[in-house]
Order: sequence, then C-alpha cells, then structure tokens
Amino acid sequence: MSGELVQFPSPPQRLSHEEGRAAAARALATPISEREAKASELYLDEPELLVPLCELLTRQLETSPSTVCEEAEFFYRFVSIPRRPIGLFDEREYFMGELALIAGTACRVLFRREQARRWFDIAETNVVLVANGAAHVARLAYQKLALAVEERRFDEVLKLAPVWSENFLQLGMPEDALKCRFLVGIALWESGQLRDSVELFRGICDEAEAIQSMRLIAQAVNNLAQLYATLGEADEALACSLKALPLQKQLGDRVGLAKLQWGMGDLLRGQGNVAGALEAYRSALREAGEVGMRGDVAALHLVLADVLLGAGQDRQAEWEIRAALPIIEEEKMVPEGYAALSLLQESLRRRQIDRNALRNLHGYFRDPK
Amino acid sequence: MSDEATSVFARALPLIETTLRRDFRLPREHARAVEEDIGLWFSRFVLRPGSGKAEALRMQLFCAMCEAGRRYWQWRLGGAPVVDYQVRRALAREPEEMARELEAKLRQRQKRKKRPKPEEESDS
Repeated sequence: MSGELVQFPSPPQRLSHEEGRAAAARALATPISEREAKASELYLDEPELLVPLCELLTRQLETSPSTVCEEAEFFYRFVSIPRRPIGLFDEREYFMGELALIAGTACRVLFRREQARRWFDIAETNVVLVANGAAHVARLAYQKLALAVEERRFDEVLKLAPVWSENFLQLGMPEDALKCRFLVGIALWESGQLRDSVELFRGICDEAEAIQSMRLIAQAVNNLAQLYATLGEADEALACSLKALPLQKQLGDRVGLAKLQWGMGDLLRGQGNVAGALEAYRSALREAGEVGMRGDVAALHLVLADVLLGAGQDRQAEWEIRAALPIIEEEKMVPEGYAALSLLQESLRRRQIDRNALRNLHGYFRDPK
Repeated sequence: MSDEATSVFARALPLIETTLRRDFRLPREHARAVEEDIGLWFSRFVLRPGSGKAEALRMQLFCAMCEAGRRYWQWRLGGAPVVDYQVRRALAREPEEMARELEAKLRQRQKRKKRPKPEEESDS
C-alpha cells in the first residue's frame, strides 16, 4: 500500500453506503460540463460515492460503452488532478487504477485499440500500489489478452490465457478464470479449430451454470450459436440463438444482442434467406449504432453491402459502403486492410463495386464474437 | 458493511486493538480512531472487484492496520525519528510479516475456542 500521509484524525465519513449509491446516481445524472463546479455539493471526492460509481460504470460497459468511456475519463481526471486526498490508505490509487481500467475496457469495446492500450498502461501504474494488487494485475492481464484476440494475436492468447485462467482460480476468481477460457475458445475458432472451440464452449456453459453466471451462460450460448452456424449445423445454431436471445435481452446486453443478431443474419444468409438475413443484420446494425460500436457498425454496413450486391441491389449496396468508409477512415481501422480499402474506394469512384475488395475488407473485422 | 465482512472485522478487532496499543503504543483514544478508519476502509475494500471472500482478506486487514500504525507515527511526529524502542521495533517490521503472524495467532485462538473442554468430554 502506498499514498499520501493519512490525515489524523481522518475526516468524518460524510455518506453511508446507501447515500453513496444515491450520490453516484446523482453525479452521473449531472452533465459533465457542470460537474466539476458542483464537485463539493455532489461529493465527487467521497469514496462512498466512487465505489458504487465504478460498479455502475462496469455494469454499463456492455450496454453503453461510449458513455462509460466519457464518464470514466472524467472521474479519472477528477481523482488524479489536482492531487487531492481521496479516502483512506490506498483508495486514491485504487480508484485511479479502476477508472483507468474501465476507460480502457470501454475503448477496447469501442474498437479504439490505441487508446485502450494507453488506459491499461495508466491502470497498471496504479494497481501495483494497492492492497490485493495481484487480483487487479490479473484483471488487467485479462483485458490485454482480450485486446490481443481483437488484434488476432492468437498464438499469444493460446499460450497465455490458460495460464491466467489457472491464476484466477488460485486467486479465488472463478468467473474471471472462465472468461480467460472464453478467449481460448475464440482463438481456436479464429484459427479454424471449430470442433475444439465448440467442445470448449460447451464446457464453459456447464461451468457457467455451476457458478450461476447468467452473463457468461448467455455469451457462451451466443458463441455456440455462431460456431454451429459456421459449421453449417443450422438446427443446433438456431436452438442456441433462441436460448441466448431472451438471456441477452434480460441482461440488457446490447453488445451481445448485436452480435447475436449478426450471427443470426449469417445463419439465414447461409440458408439462402436473403430477406431474413438483411433484417437480422439491420437489427444488429441498429443495436451496434445505439451502443456506439463504430467498428461493428462499419463492418455490418460492409456485410449488408455484400448481401445486397448478391441480390442485385447495387445502388443500395453502394449506399452501405459509403456509410462504412468514413467510419473506417475516421477511426483509422484495419491498417492491415489498407490495400483492400483503396481498391474499394477506387471501384466506388468508378461506380462499379469491386466485390473481392469488399469481402477482403470486411474479412479484417468481421468478428461477431 | 456486509455481514461477512462485519464478522471478519469483529473477530480480528481484539487483536488489532492489542497490536495498536501494545506494539505501536497508541493512546486508547487514538487507537479507537484508527480502528474506525481501518473498519471503514475494510468495508469498502471487500466491495472491490476480485476481492473474493472476506475471510481470505483478513491478511489485508492486518496489513492495513500496520500501515495505519506507521502513518499514525508519521503524523504524530511530523517525520521526526521515533524514540520509543517498542514502537521503533514495530515500525521496522514488514507489514506482511506482521500480518502473517497476527493471522496465525488468530487461527490459534479460534482453534482453542473450538476445542471441547476436558470436563465436557468426561461428562459425556
């Protein structure tokens, strides 16, 4: 533990746990632009507010990552600058580490990889100073591995994720241990080892049921649905999708819902049901757009374009591509797919879409997991 | 504080009190104030993600107590060197080492409490 000299006697506790929870909700309801001026009346430096605030933000990561990112950034700045005394012993470092981890996770969900990496580095400088630091270092390692999955560094994931899974078990964190196995499942999937991935996700479902983690059950079933779809086992895929859909809705997991609908689109497309596929992809696009997942929005526009091209609706396909390209450029996505992007832009100028370039491009971030 | 955390804290409190008074030589009133701080910190600490069961976090509770003792003397003397030999010895020890010792002591006490008394054995 480290930090500033503790004040003695320490300032009296201003809020109870319950009052802290209400204060956190009040602070979040106050526009960011007005917040700092009202810092004192909103009790922004009160640890009893910051604990439930971090909980609230973490819970909203899957449903509103853009908002969470903004909020975590604001509170990180507030806690760190100026160097104000917050809480007791290691609490200032803890809140800085936790808020940076939340901001980084939100950036990762939002496809902002460089920003995510920067936030994780900031989190690391803080969590090493807090009590039970090993647990937080492990949580950070999980986020870095999840980033590695998104960057398709599968060898690294297959090597490290099982080790971290064991470490989490030793630290008494079974849900996090399962999350690491998730990453192994995705890496296997992406490496073309589909059967191994199915077996792994079935095992994860059983274990998630054993520890009663509804969130993990929903995500594992969702992944199984997509895996079966890829394997062409439509009945199994549909059964899993139907099992996952109400779970995701109940959890309010809009990121999961977007991915599930994306997967259903793939399934229907594979069955030759173009109208059904378009509807499912558009639902996924709506969810992804509302949640602010710009990477997925761009990818879904490209998938839609591909389906529309196949259906002979070239003009609509062109519109979808035109909606995707600015996002890809603004967010500096898929630098590895630069050649495909240039070819596609060129073909758009000629008003004759290069379907190979289109497929190459959405192949770089077609990742509904 | 959650029921579990409250019970962990309550069971550790007598040892915390003794250590603050005997090893760190805090006056009774100041020891009480420090205990309150530690209790408040622990009530929030157990809510952190990855904290696991409160029972497993007792070591962290004892570490926090050592840290509190250390900071108390820094505050009290404004950074001047400690003269009292007993306090100097307590401050020179690693918090983790002291926490391990206290944890072992608490386990022993709990074992002793659980062991049936000899007269009860002869009664049955």
